[in-house]
Amino acid sequence: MTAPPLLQLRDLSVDFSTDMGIVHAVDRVSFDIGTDEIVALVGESGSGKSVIAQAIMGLLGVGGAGRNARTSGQLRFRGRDGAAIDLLTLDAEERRRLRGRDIGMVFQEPMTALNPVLTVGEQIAELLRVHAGLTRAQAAAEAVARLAEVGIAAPAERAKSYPHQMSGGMRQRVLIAIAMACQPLLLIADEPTTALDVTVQAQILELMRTLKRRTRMSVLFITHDFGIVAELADRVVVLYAGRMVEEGSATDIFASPRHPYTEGLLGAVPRLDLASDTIGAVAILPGTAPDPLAFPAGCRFHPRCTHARPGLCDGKAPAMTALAGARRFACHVRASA
Amino acid sequence: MSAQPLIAAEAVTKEFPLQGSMLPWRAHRFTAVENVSIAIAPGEVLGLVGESASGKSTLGRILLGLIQPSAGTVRFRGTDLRAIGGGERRAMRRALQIIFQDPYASLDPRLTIGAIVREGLDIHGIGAPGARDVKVAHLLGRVGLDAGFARRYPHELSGGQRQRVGIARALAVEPTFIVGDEPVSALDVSIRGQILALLAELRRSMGLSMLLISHDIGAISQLSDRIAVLYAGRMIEIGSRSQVLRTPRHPYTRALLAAIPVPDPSRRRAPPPALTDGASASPDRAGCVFAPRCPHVRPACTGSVPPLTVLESGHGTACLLQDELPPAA
Repeated sequence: MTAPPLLQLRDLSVDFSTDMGIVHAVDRVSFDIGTDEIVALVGESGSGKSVIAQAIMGLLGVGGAGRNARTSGQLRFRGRDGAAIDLLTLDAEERRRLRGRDIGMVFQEPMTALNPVLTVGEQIAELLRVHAGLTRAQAAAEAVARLAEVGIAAPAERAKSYPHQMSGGMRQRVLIAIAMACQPLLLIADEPTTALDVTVQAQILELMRTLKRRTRMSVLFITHDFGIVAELADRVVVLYAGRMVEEGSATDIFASPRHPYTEGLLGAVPRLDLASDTIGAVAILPGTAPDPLAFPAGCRFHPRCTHARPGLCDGKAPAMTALAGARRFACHVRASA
Repeated sequence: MSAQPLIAAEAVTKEFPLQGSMLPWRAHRFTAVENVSIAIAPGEVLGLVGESASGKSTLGRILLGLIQPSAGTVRFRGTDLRAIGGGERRAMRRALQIIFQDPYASLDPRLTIGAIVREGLDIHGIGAPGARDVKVAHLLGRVGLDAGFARRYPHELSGGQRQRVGIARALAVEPTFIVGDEPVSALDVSIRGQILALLAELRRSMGLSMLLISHDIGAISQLSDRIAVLYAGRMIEIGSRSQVLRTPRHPYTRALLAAIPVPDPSRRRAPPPALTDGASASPDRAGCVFAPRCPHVRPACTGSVPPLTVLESGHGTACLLQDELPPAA
């Protein structure tokens, strides 16, 4: 990539202090999101993937569980003027300006993320007034145009609808319209299709592909579903228990996963597209995700890893091994293989 | 199937009155399940697939006798569930068990795991009271949990462990038929395989029949001998696993399969045919309920309800155009 990255995460760590101790939810995570690139952040529950999204959005440290969050590292974001700013050191005012304008976010649950007492048109218009400085009438007209852009039929009528009058797929389209309202440089999508039926999911993924092609925005797509990753992502970052275990192009990761966890996750995806004797057959990853209050020493995956070597994997945390093609993985065994 | 089915629904329909109607005698009704017939043989696993509000959970609960159908009959070993009374009813309840989707919401947070699993033993008077704790320990072992879990509480367990408890609870009363309502949907990908393998092993060793309900055809296909597809309360396709997955005949089944992301970036496909956004809450039931979204729709489709026609191979489809459609991609 010739253009400098839009966002560089450098040694991002997030700790939560809880009544029961400190949770190192994100541990020294570093990766880039390029311009016009879709990066998939893949992990299971407790992997830290949503915490990373919240850190980028500046949603940690503003209340709830985030109240007790301690963040370190750097989040270098290149704004519209080309100057790099660190999202972690922004003051509240600058952050508010950035959020919604330069960085948009789509959440998993399209019902709870929308305001139930405002029409969807009003919710999009509000953003356009605040960030783009449109008048009330301009914003209302523009909101209808934005609904049309995300594929909502009869947008002028639909703008007057309340969220509860819409289907899940339509609500998710509205959320995407809101996130896209100010043509953000970066769209963060946190499992945006998990709550949707699979035929609707396919439509939403197609919409995201179309919007990305049209606007050349960057997308950080958070998911646990490698099927979606294959459909959408240019590059893949795999997280396990708060640490990066592997990074690479989607093609490389699927063709030759290096980390045993990535391998296991890929094997756990049922394949309905293959020969009939393997219909839906999945490999089994043993064990359970570790307790975040007591992550295992060394490689955090080693208690579940069939390749783990005593004295090696339970000692030091594995460093990233870099390969050609911007591939990296963190595994003692595979690094020495 | 020549043998008597273990459990069978015969033309069952379930309507729910909709709230907010001003005229109760003219109340609007929501048809959750319409005229569905399905039979599950002893030892068979049937996968039941459909999107939200397709009626799959309602059908599962009708089969268990937890919901009374508005019309139609459910037979357990040939006997109408409604005709079963007294002690036989209790035995029937033992035989029919359910595993829920959400392992967080379906376990009483104030009870220990041991008490949760033991409850069914106490209610049905299985084994001597003094021997029940031994049986609980055995059941926990059966689902891959150490006996020490009996003293712990649900909040101390991971999602996968809780789902194992839910399975142990269902097994405690020695059922012959289990409905798994989205049994792996709330679990992490790496845990799903473990739970599916456990269900497969239990089925093999205990000869259990199962109805596995899911919105995700991939999640349950591995275990299913046959797969039935529901759409807006109607069964629109049923067949063996390979019939439904390899040669789907109904346009909805085809769209459903085409919409599943393929985990292989080198096979990134053209977008699936555009279906209009989501199912209508109250489709016109005078015709095919899928017609408003169907890419092959013709005027005839809205006039009459397409019957489920079953081929000699046992592959059934409810579509007027099934013989004219191009072969599945």
